[in-house]
Amino acid sequence: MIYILHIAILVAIYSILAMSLDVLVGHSGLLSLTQGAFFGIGAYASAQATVIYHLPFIMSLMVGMIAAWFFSVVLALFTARLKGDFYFIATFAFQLLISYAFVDLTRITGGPLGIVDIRPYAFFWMSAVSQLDFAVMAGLCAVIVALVIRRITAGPLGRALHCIREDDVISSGYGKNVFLLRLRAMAVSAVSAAIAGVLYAHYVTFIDPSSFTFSESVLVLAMVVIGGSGSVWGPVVGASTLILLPELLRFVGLSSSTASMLRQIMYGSALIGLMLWRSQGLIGKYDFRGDDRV
Amino acid sequence: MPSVLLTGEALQGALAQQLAQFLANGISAGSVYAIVGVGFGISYSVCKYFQFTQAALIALGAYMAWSCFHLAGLPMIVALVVAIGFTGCVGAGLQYFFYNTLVSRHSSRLVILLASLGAYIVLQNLISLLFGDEFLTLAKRDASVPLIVSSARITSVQLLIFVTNLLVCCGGILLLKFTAYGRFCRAAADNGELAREYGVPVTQVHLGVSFVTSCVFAVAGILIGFDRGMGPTMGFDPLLMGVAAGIVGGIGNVLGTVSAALLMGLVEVFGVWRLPTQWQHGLVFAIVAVVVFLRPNGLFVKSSSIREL
Repeated sequence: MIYILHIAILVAIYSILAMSLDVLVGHSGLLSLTQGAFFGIGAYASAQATVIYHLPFIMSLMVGMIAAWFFSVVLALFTARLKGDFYFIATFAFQLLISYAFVDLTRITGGPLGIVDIRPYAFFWMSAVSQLDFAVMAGLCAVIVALVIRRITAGPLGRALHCIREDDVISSGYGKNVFLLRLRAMAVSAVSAAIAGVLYAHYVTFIDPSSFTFSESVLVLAMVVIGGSGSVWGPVVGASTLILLPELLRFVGLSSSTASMLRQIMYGSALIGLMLWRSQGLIGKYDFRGDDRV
Repeated sequence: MPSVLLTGEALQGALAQQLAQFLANGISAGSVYAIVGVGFGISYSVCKYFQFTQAALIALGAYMAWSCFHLAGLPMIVALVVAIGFTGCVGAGLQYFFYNTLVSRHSSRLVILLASLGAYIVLQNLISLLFGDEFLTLAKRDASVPLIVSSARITSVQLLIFVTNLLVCCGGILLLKFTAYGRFCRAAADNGELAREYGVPVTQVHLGVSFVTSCVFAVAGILIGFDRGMGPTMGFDPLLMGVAAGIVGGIGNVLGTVSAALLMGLVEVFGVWRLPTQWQHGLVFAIVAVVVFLRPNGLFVKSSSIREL
């Protein structure tokens, strides 16, 4: 039962991450490798708020979201003039920088040892949290994030983002401020990813830099692409698939390092296969073909 | 390296020694980025899409050289030639079977980018599976004899890196400017469809370019293997810095890329002089970000020939 709840919580957390990335990938046409970084920024900021300042959970959630928002604005400023593959490379550099910072800024992040014993003295209104409570709250958070993101992407901001996705020059000709709209999309995405990070930090009660690396970003990107981008359910399906499949592999009985390599090879092959035959993913709507053909 | 000599003559004492040492380290770091940047620049300007697999090719070159030399026991020169040739063939094979298929399906750049990311993950993990994750080094003895040039210790590997950089840079310029093949490359880079109409064999040009640039990536990987040692993800940082050098110097502009890469190497090394080591990469990225923000087409490109990034 504990194991099933554990998987459910992971699926909820990664669904939030995948949905947050879909705001950029599916709705704005910006391939981005930053989700691991924002996941980590949310986790670290809230962990420090909890461990050092003993803030209640709600407050440390706020701290994590504000930290992610700040970094997303900085990133948006520096990538304002990039698009397509160069935007992707810039986000890749951002992810590497943040990963280095997690390891090297030992005074803030605890370095390679990470932060241990992250226990809020109040989790929402509950003082003691069982795993079931946490699973329910994580699920609720995922639903709320899904509703908010659906509300945003189906509304005027979403329509404007779709317009930019198809052609940014024409959109700016129609009076859309491409930079501001992209900044808002990136902020929504980063803040949602930070929510996942806060949940993660308070669930495992221990964080270190290895959870927020480049491969984490690739994993989340693979979830969105495999599940399908531009829809609400696509990222959820992708997250569930990529969390459940490796858990099934666990029962086959391979050594853990070989298993992780095989898992990576699986993700990679899935990416290649989908891009060759079905670029909108399993149940997605956007197929990445709005961009110019080669 | 005349600049090292000059500084040595002009200044004396510990400061001069430190300065000369930094200069040597910076130039050798920058030279690696330059080699990767030239390879990336030629490939990107001709093919027009970013190939993540290039990071895997860097690692593949180093690992092939390692296995030819340490496992098969071939002499070093033969091992290097075999490794470079093999990597070139793998690169051309990827182009023929993988990227050409994607292009023939009218994929957009983003689709190709994602597929190449997938291919990179597969290749990198195959290397991990075959060779393991532990750190290896190509060098036979761990202490190579340093040359003392005006009080700076320059290892023979650093010298080798610098000389190779010069060779790759000159080779690239000569190939692009003065051969028929280079003319085809530039035509395909300017306008692929028009070049095809005029009878340039664009598909073969792409194949040839990927073979040559893959060889260049293998060379870079081998040099890194000699200098700092190797792991399956070793291609990552150099490719990123090479791409940054390409962007700053102007993509496809060999001289610009090389100067940008050397500049970045120097910034990286001199930054550490005053700042803590962890900001080494951060400083370089910050400068690249500012350059991209102010001049998205690169420092050494005339602003009249605007291209979209």
